[in-house]
Order: sequence, then C-alpha cells, then structure tokens
Amino acid sequence: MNYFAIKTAWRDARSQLGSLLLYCSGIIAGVAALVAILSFRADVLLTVDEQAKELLGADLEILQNEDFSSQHIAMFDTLGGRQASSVEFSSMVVYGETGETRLSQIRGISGGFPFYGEIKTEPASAAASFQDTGTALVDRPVMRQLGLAVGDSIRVGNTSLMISGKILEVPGESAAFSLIGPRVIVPKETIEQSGLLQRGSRVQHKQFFAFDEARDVDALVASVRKAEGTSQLRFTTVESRKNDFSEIVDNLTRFLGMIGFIALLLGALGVASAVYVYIKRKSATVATLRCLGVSSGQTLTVFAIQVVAMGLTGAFAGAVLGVLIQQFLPMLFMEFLPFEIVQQLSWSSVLLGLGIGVLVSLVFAVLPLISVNTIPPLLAIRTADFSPLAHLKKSTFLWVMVMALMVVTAVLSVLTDSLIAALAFMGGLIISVLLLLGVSKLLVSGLKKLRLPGFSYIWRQGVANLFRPNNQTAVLVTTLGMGMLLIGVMSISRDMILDRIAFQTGDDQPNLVFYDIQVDQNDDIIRLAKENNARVLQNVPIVSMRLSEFKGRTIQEIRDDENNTISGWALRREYRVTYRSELNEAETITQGEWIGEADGFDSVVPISVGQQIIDELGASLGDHLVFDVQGIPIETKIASVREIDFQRPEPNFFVLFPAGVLEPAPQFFATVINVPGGADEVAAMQQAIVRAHPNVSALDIGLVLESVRTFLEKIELAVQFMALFSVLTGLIVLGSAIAISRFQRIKEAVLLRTLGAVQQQVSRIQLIEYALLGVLASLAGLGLSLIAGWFIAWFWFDLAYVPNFVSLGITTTAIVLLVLLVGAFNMRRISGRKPLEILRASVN
Amino acid sequence: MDSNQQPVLRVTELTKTYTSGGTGLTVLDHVSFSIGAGVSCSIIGPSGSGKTTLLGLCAGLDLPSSGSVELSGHELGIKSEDELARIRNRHIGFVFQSFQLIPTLTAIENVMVPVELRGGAYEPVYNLAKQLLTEVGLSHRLDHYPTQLSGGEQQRVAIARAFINEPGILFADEPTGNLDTETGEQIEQILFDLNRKKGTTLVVVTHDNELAARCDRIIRLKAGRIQSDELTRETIPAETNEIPA
Repeated sequence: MNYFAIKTAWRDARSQLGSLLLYCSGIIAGVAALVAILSFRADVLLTVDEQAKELLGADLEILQNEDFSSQHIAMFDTLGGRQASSVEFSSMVVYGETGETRLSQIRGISGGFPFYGEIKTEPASAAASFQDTGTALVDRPVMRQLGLAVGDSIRVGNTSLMISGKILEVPGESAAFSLIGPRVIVPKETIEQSGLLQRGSRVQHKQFFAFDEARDVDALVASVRKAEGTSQLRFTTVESRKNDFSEIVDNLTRFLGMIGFIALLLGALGVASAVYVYIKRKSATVATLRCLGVSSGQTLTVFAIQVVAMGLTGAFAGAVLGVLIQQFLPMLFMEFLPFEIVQQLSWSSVLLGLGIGVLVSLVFAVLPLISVNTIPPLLAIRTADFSPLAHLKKSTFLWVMVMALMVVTAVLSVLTDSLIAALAFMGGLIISVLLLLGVSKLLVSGLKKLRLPGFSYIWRQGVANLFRPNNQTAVLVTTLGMGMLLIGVMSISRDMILDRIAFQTGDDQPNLVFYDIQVDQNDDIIRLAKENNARVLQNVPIVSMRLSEFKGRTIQEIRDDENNTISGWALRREYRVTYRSELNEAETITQGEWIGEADGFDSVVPISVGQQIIDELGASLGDHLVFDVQGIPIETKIASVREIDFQRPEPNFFVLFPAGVLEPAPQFFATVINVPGGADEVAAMQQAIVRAHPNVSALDIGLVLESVRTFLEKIELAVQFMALFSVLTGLIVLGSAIAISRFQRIKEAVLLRTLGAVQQQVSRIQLIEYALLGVLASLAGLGLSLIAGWFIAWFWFDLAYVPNFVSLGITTTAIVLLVLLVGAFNMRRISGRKPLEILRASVN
Repeated sequence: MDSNQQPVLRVTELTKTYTSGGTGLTVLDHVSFSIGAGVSCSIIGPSGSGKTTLLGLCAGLDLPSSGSVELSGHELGIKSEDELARIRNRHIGFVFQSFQLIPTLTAIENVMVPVELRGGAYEPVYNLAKQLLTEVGLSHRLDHYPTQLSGGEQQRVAIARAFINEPGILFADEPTGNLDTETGEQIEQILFDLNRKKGTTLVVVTHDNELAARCDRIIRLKAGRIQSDELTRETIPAETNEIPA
C-alpha cells in the first residue's frame, strides 16, 4: 500500500480521533448482539456436548403409546444393560386437603432412571427414596402456588400419596415444562393401581437402557428396528436427542441472530451516513490534496484506510461488549434450557462477529467512500456546498448497491445456513427499510408544513432544526423506527395470539373440557355438570383407530417402498375419530360433499378428512382408506375435505365418520361445558367431576390461557431484548449524528444567544427537535407495526384487529424519552459556549 | 442630534487578560471611550490588536477582566448571561463577516428571529421584516433559504435582521470582509443609509480604511491600547463621544 496514503490517513485522522470513533460507534450494538448470540449458541452446544447423556438420562429410550407386549419385554431382556421403565401421561391430580385439582404431567418410574444426571429435589434424598416409600415428587411451582409442603398428600386417580419432595430439576427438561402442567413423579406401580390407564388415555410407555461405553447403540437400534418391522416403537439415542436439541438451539439462535443482524445493518447504515457527512465536510481538504497533485487513487486510499480503521475499531468495541453481554444472556433463556450453561470465550464466535461487523460496515461505506473521487480540485479555490454522492454516476451507484446487497445476503446466508432464508430476510428488510424511509420522509415533510405562523418561534425553530443540512433526520428516523417496528410487531403478535384464544372464552364459550370419559361415566358427568348449573355444549364420542391400508396398499408396503414420500406421521399415528350427522361451527367443507349418515361398515364408509391429513398423505377426494378399529377393518372413502379451525377449544378431529357406523365400537367421550361465573366456579366444577371420576381429565381454558400468556411473555422478552439492540443502535447513531452536527448546533445556539435568546429558549428549541425526532421515529415504526399487525391479523389469525394502544403507547413514550435523554446529554456540551465564539468564527 | 443625551456606549478602563498555561496575555489594556447616539464609529487596527475582543466586550458577548461597559444605561459587567442576552435582544444589532444566518430558516424568518424571541406576534413582525427586506432590495427573496442566496444577499438579510429590533447600537464585524468590492460597497451603502435613517449608533470593526473613513469617528487600536481616536466630521458632539486624553 502507498506509504503516502497511510501517512496522510494518520496525519489527517490524529486531530479528530474522537470524532472518528463516534462515526464508527453505530455498529457497536449490532456486533455486540451478533457476538453475544453466536457465543451463546456456542456455549449451549458445548454444554449439550458435555451433558448429552443427561439430556436423555439414558443411552437409549424406547417409546410406545401403548403398553409393551410380552414379546417387547422379552426383546428388552435380550438387549441387556441396566434398564428402567416409565409410564407418562396427563391426568387430573387432586392436591392437598383443599382438594384443588390441576391437569398434571404424571410419570410413574420403575428402576434407576435417570441413569445419567439426577432428579433434583428438596429434600435431596426424596429423589432416591420415593420408589421405596411409595411417595410422590411434585413440581415446585404448583406447591408454591397451592401452599403445599412436603408431608401433604395428593390423589392420583384412586390412589393417595404423600409428597416426599419438591421437584427442582429433571434431567433433560427445562423449567418451562411446568408451564404445560405441574410435573408429578410417582412409583410406576402406583399408576397401575390408580385406575387411570383406561381407554382413551394418551399414555407413553418408555423403557430406558444404560450400556457399557463399548456398546454401539446406533447399531443396536438398527438391528431392533429391522427385527420389529412395522411396530409402533420409537427409539431415541443420546445422539438423536442431542441432534434434536441442537436443531432447536440452532433455530432459536438463528432467529435471534437475524434480529441482531438488523441492528448491525442499521448501525452500518448509520456509519455510512456518518462517513458521507465526514467526506462531505472534507471536500475542501480533498480538493486541496488534488490541487497538490495527489491522485484520485491515493485520495481514495487515504479515506479507505480511515474507514477500515473506523470499522475495525467499532467492530472490536462491539465484540468486547458482546462477550460481556454473553455472560448475561443465559438469564433470558434460563427457563427454556434443561441445564446450566457452561460458559467460555468462543473465539470463533468473536472472530465471526468481528469479521461480519467490519465487512458489513465497509460494504455500506463503499458508496460514500468512492464518492470522494467526484470532488473537483476547483473546490479548493471556490467554496461551494458540494454533494459528492449527487455527482456519482448512476450506473456506479446501482452497481455498488447491488454488490452491497449481494455481499450482505451472502453473509446472512452463511449465518443462517440457508440462502432462501437470507433472501427472504433481505427482501423483508429492504421493504421495511424502504417503507420506513418513505414514511419518515412523509412525516418529515408533513412536519415541515407544521411551521405555521400560529406556532411560537421556539416551536418553529425546533421543527426547522430537523431540516438542518447534514442532519441525517431520515436515517435517524429509520434506525430508531426499526427498533420500534420490531418491538411493536412482537407485542402486537403476542396480543393477537392471546386475543385469538380469549376470543373463544366469552360467556357463551366453553371454559372447561373433560376428556377420557368412559361410556359408563358419560351420563353421570352430564348430570353432574347440569347439577352445577353448567351448560353442556358438546358431548363427543371418540373412537381410536389406525390406518392399515391406503389406496389399496398396506401401510407396511408403503413404508417399505423406497420411493415413498408420504409422511410417516400420517401413516402411523393413532387416529382419534368421532362420528356425527352434522358439521360443527369450526368445520368448512372445501371439496366434495359431506355425508352425515351411513349404513354400517359392511359397505364403504364415506368419511370427511381434514386438509392437513390430505396434505400429509398426498390423498385426494375419492381415495380409499382402510382403518383398523381395534381389530376390525373398516373400508372408507374420502367423500369430503374440511378446513378445521383447531384454535377453538372444543375437540376437533382430522377424520370424521358419519353417524351409523362407529356406534358399536369401543369408545370414550369428551365433554365441553360452559360453567357460569368465574375461576372459582370452574375450579369447583372440575373438583366435583374429578372427585367422582378420578380418571377423567379436565382442561381449564382459563388456566391454559394463563400458561400460554406466561410462555409468550417469556419468548417475547428474549425477542425484545434483541430488538433493543436496534433501539440502542438508533440511539448510538443519534448520538453520533448529534456529534457530527455538533459544530453546526453550537453555532446555531451561540448565534441565537448573540441575537438575544436566553438559555431556556435555546434549550427548549433543542428539546423540541429531539422530542420530534423521537416522535417521528416512533410514529414511523408504530405505523408500520400496526400495518404489519393488520396483515398478520387478516392473513394469519383471521380476526378483527384491535391493537393494544396502551402497551404501544408505553413503548413509544420510552423511545421518545430515550431520544430526549441522548439529546439532553449532548446539550450539556453546547449550552456552555460563549456568544463571543460567533465573532471569532471559532465554531466553524 | 441632541447633545445633552447620555452616550449609548461608555467604556471605562476596560482590560481583558487571557490566561493560558499559567501565563497571562493582556489583549485589551485599560481602554476607555464613549460613543453617542446616531454616531458611526469604526475600530481599526492590525490583527491581534484587540478589535474583536473589544467588540465582544462592548456587545456583552464576553466579560472584562477589569473595567466596565455601560450600554444604553445598563452596566454589562454585573449582569447574568441571560440578562445580557435580553439586553442584546432589545438594544443591540449585529452584522457579522460570515453573515451567520440560520440555515434552516428562510430569509424572512431569519430577519424575524430577534423580535420573535421576545414573543412578538407573527403578523406585525412578518410585515416589519418584509418591509426591511424590501428596503435592502430583497423583496423577491423572502422565502429563500440562505444556501439559495449569494453572499451579498445573505449579508443584506443579516442587515435587515440587525435593524428589526430597532437597536440603539449596531455592531458590525468586518461586514464586507467576505464580499467582492462592488457588493461590499452596496452593503456599506445600505448599512450607512439605514444607520442614518433609523438613528442607530454604528460600531464597525474593520481592516478596510475606506470603510473606516466613511464613519464619523475612527478608533485605532494597537497592542490592546487605543493608539488614536479621531473625528472625521465636525458635527459630532464631543461630550457624548469622549476621546481619551
């Protein structure tokens, strides 16, 4: 590299190092976000590697949705190793003396599971002794919530057990598991005595194995799979569990990384804007250098060196900050992670974040940088307001833009491991940024018209300041607005998901669902509900069946076919089917004709199938399916296809039989009721039914809603944390923009003071400017998030959209206040200047 | 001119010393003079003679190390910064070498600023500003921004701004320093015409001997002291234009 260029770059920069650092500060937050997320990912994956066996608690888990047969058990014996078994299902548990009931996740364990890691309880000895003492371990949150203590009792089905310990941690499970329902661990034989495992219960039977190190588990699984053929057994090894978990972590960190990447892009936009203002201000110097005989290449090199150094410094500062944030990031995900994260400095993540930061900031700075060469030497002798970018050739401008977008997309596709995701993301981002820029320009020009005579001078001057030359108002509104847009969309989406569920919980809507009701219990449950003034909205019979033939081929044949593309899930699943003569409100026929009545199963039964199963099976109208209804084959034909609104709380079914076929089949019932009153009445109703019929499970819609809310809030917190980096970037870019225009601001303030403005007036003018900037950014972001919200509501949730203006208003106010804070902080440096400086022109 | 009236500006034993690195540098050294109403006075001297410092102190833009400045009956040395701002707003007009217009305001809005700062109603202020811009020959440039105006036009806007609050005294710092000769002469003409018409006291700091000679009085500074103080007209009442012995 040209020695002259290096020397000149340094000589030119040394007197303004502080300012140059400010210019590059925009990318600090973005790089920090990226490094933090990448390091966090590395930490989680490292922990998964180290604790892979604890994730499963065994070397191998074999699972089936029905009890293992004697052949299975004989086969397990041949596998050797240490073995344990469990039975897991959801059912009602009655807690304590007060008889509070909760739909709980019950596990009956027999043997030494977990073989790796341990169930942590309080007292610690309870985990080891509960099988011997015939007691129960109960999740800590529900014990706290219901005021239970060790020594109290619970009732599971017909069996009462003493609580011997509080569950603190279960290997392989995060604290968020409790959100689905309280976890209760009991000895397996208790379950067998409880009478809960009746027809209809969705039960998982698991067999756990621990082998010597030398055992090749994958080979073992392969040989068992081959021997078992079409059986319903599912196998999970340490490696497969690790891969599943890694995939979840990858997806999560990829998503959060993208949000962090937005902050980086916004920061780079801020840097590009700052570089442009810098180069514009340097026009006279560049012209002088050119007059002195410096070539255009040398001029470009001088500024390129400065910009690269700026990018490196900003990215380095961001990387350091990212490493610091990495220490705190696990706190956000604590409840979602099944282990404590092992933290260490991930150099690869730091270098990747650093490299991406430098590259992206450089790519964005190319355009202003190459505009240096448009500065004519004539400027040295003729002062004029020269805009280098405006003199750049249009074709050059376009080429650089295209190249920049390609580089950024390539970087993103490396980060996300998917070109399609990168392209979609970039497309969305470009549209968002263009919209934000458009909206901000619209708002700014609208504001310009607000300089009406009726407004005070202070107000008009505050508004006018937004149009200060080189003020970067549009870029500032865009960067700050993007933060608001991200937070807004997140908050709106959460509200909408909750609204969608709450919509179904009005006075006339179901608020309690009972299922696993046996035939002989059905009448009594309806009677009990009516006695408690509840209205029975639905009483649905359910018949379990499996698919045995599809389009004339057996499931085995289809699965053995190497060219098979049909989803294994749709072929193997246990179908829970109902029968009736009418469709309900949640169902709409999209193809064919609904036939409500049929004449037994001796002839082909016309059934209706949900669109999702049609897609999974690749089936179409008229296709024949044979179902195995507990040993009896029933031939059916797809007579109609339905769209089903599964977001409604009442039970809905993929496969619907007409009346007149399944009535004699073994079945159980689900009953949907509306209990008038509040949560207390719902709880009382629930307790009455569970006390009389312990095997019946109840779903309290209110509690479900509460769990969903808690879950969404936790997810939202993590996303908003990442979105805050965009707000932070906006604030840094604002700080940098104020610093860049500092001389102009001082000059204005001093001039006003000279003309007789008191300090308060000068301060108010500046505060109005900052407040307007914050309001504009928030409005732009808010406006777009509302439009996005409307689209989401229209296309996704299919509901009338009523945004929560209170929470959006709070975010808006917070952003305006933050902008004011940054502005006020910078005002301190301006307010102390003496008016005399205007005479000495020392502020030029 | 009324010979009994008080001087608009009275400077007494004015000294300004800057301290840098423990060393004191006296820029103005016991300077005294006074200027009466309606008089035009130029302050000339070589670079570093203390001209701008003197102008800054006289206009209440800075505080003296010792001595006093009395402007339109106000003792500036005992005023707070905001009180000084109010005095500047009501009694002083400024014309700067580099025009110093607010870039985000149009020509007429720039002219209106001093009166608007005291809360003047928009309409009358607008009319007054329009009238002043017409007087300086810019009636067709009211809504132009500074960047859309030539140097001479910008200075004319600055002159209109300086006169809008009907100041008792107008300080001009090298008002033609950034302009070509022809434009400079036009600006001088406007400045002196308005000065006469409005009866404003005019204090001009300049290197330009020709400009200085157009004033009623010339104060020459050298090394922070008054080297000479001469009247160029006989009409100036001596008691309000005290020339130190």
